[in-house]
Amino acid sequence: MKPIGNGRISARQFKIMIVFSLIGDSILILPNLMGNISHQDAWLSQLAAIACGMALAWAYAALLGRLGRLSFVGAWTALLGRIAGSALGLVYAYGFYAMVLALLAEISLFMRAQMMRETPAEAIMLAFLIVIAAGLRYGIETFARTSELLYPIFIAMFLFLSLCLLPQIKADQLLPIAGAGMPQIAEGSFLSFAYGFLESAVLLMLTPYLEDDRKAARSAIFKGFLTGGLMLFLILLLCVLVLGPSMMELKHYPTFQLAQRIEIGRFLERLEALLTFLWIVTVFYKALLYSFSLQKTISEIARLQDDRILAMPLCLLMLAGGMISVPNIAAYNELIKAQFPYYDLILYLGGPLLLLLLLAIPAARRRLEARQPRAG
Amino acid sequence: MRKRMRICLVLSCLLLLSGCWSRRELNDLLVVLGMGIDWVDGQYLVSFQVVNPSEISSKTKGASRAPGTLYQGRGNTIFEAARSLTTQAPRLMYLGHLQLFVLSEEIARRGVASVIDSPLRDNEARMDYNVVIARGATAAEILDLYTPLERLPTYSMQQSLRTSERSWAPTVAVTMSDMINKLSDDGQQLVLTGIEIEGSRKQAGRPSNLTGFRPAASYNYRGIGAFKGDKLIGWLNEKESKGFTDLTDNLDSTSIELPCSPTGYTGIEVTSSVTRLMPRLRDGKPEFLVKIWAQGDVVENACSMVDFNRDATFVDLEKRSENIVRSNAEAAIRWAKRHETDVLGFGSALAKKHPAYWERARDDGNSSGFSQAAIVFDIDVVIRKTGTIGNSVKPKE
Amino acid sequence: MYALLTGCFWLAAAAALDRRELLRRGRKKELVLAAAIGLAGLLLFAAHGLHVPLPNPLDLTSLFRGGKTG
Repeated sequence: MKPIGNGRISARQFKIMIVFSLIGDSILILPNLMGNISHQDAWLSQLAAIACGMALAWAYAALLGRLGRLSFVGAWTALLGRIAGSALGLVYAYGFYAMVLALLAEISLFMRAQMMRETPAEAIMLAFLIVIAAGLRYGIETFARTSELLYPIFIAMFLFLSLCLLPQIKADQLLPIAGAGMPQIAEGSFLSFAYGFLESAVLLMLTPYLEDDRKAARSAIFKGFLTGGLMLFLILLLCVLVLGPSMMELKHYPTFQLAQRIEIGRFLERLEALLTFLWIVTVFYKALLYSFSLQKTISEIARLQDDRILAMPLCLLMLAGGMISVPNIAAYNELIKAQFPYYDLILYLGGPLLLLLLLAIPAARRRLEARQPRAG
Repeated sequence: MRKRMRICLVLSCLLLLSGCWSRRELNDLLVVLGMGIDWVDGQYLVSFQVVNPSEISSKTKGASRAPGTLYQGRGNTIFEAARSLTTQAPRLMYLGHLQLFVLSEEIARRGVASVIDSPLRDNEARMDYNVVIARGATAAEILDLYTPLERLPTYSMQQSLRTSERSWAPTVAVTMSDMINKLSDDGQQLVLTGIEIEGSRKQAGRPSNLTGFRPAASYNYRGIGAFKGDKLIGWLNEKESKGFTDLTDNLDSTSIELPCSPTGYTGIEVTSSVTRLMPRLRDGKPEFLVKIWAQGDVVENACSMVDFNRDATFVDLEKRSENIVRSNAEAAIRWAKRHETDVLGFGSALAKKHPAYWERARDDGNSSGFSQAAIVFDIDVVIRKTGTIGNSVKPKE
Repeated sequence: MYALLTGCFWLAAAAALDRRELLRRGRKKELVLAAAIGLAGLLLFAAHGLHVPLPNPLDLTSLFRGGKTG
């Protein structure tokens, strides 16, 4: 294994990982959540969310330029000093841990509701975590390259899903346009903004590994946000057009229903198990990136030289946490509706914006520059 | 050494690949094609028609055994009824290939929402099977029937329903997902087609049903059942049903018969039909414009004096066809108004076009407000061809 | 019981896979931290397996909304 610091990711890999983490679990839960709030106007909400998301991309890109070779948590430590920085780092470590637990709960609930009813949650989480542990042990360079391999397959399957659903579209299900009312549409777009765009903030933990071309990395954020946002938009639009708002509100996983709807002739049907690939990959990458950030944060707080050996113990901690954290689907729904929006706002909007503001002060910027690690 | 250990590790992974935890192999499953629900003595009586795989393979010939088996179980929940069957059946039911879901008329009158919860919640059942109501028979009797041509009765019934919706008109093929949408959307009430058994009930479930050219018993779709909320309140007759499918734009093709002499008729085949329901507000009151564009051909003519060489004949036939289409539609609307149930989806069309008005009307408790609304027809039937001949054969005087 | 076994097996695998990195000179901090996290995970998992009531780690997320729950 190579020592740390040697992992390098290209702008393209950076973009792909942003797309994956943005789509993440949103592809599964957003249609149902937004269907309950903005009904047939979920797609309008998503358009608004993309607009806000691009503003956020601007903020993240600006921050990315300022951070240099420091990660987000590393930059805070550099500014605030060891003790305050570590305390903040622990808050973020908890945040990343909570997100991984939520994602584990999400995937196990989904698998158990739709595909494998009798499989215990432990087994699903364990299978998922084994792959995450492998990803963490191989290091960022390896899983970044893997994402580059998976991306074309992902896009092809996504297009296949969308195209196969075209014959099932019922256009009048969109009507009345904007009938849900502005407050509802805004509320729906906030959800998408929080779960999709804000939770991509994990990209700020990858800065130490980016190749030196910062301009390319900044445009990768814009491209990634736009691509991911548009893909979610397409999924939501198809949910409204094919399933209709009532079905979106009723079923927990409307995207899975979409895949079930594919029926071309009497031979091209029952593809849902194949298309599950789509959200397994995105949820996996989101969980992997958050686990990676957790590992990175801990190693920065403790100033470790080699953080990969934390991979296996951390995954065990996640497995245990995953088992005790979400007892049932009601608890999960409560969690994502009542808790996570605030969590997202404070950690991933408040934190980065505050840092950006601080770095507008020249003294702070100089301090940060003085503490840049030497190029490795 | 190290290499050998790795090989062992990789090989041991193969043990995990024998299948997933909840795998269900084909020989552990009973493939359910039809499911019927009756209400007997305060409990559900659930009938599952499962396929006998060996009997439908093309190699076996002759009906030595039935193509399917009917299992029946009782319970307070549908799940209890299904699981109680394990005492009679060798395997567990698998709903992934369900084709037809039959509700008894009594269940439909009591309310369907509680019955469809179970198949909706289930992860195996898909949403694309058709739902029908057993008329004048129990749901179990519908599933206990030998059908000619298709060995699987549910397949035959499903195909017949889909074909007749497209090319005959007085039926609607409602799938489970349509049903959910119609149950929960406002301004739109549920409809389901009725299915009945014609002929000898006793013979229906025996192989001897098919020994003659004419089956002793056969199924027949008759009438569209209209719901209010989730309760069946009545049946549309054939004329009203035709009007219904035309108004809801489900109709593709149907037949129109125009009298041309005291005993003879001219037959028109409608080859395509498009309907648009356009709600508008006039002086704050809703009004519906129903536009129907249809095309048709003359396919039969019993009167030799009808002259297809004259343009005026076509104009006349078109006009009379339009009147028939209109009277069907009016009959359906009259029925819906009389029973105050918006099966035609007028409210839903209004809600889509004028959401603000709809919102107000609904809050005033006037959701069946369409019963006072004016309905204006704009029907245009165009007759283009007369088949491969012009005028009919004129017999000698 | 199974939880304890799974956890022990997992840690054994971790030790076997990373033994060289874990025992490298001058990396004591890493070893201690890894062991601590691993043991914490094992304890939690085992406790869950034995049906000991445990506080939910995700309950802390409610702090982000000012401590209100629900």
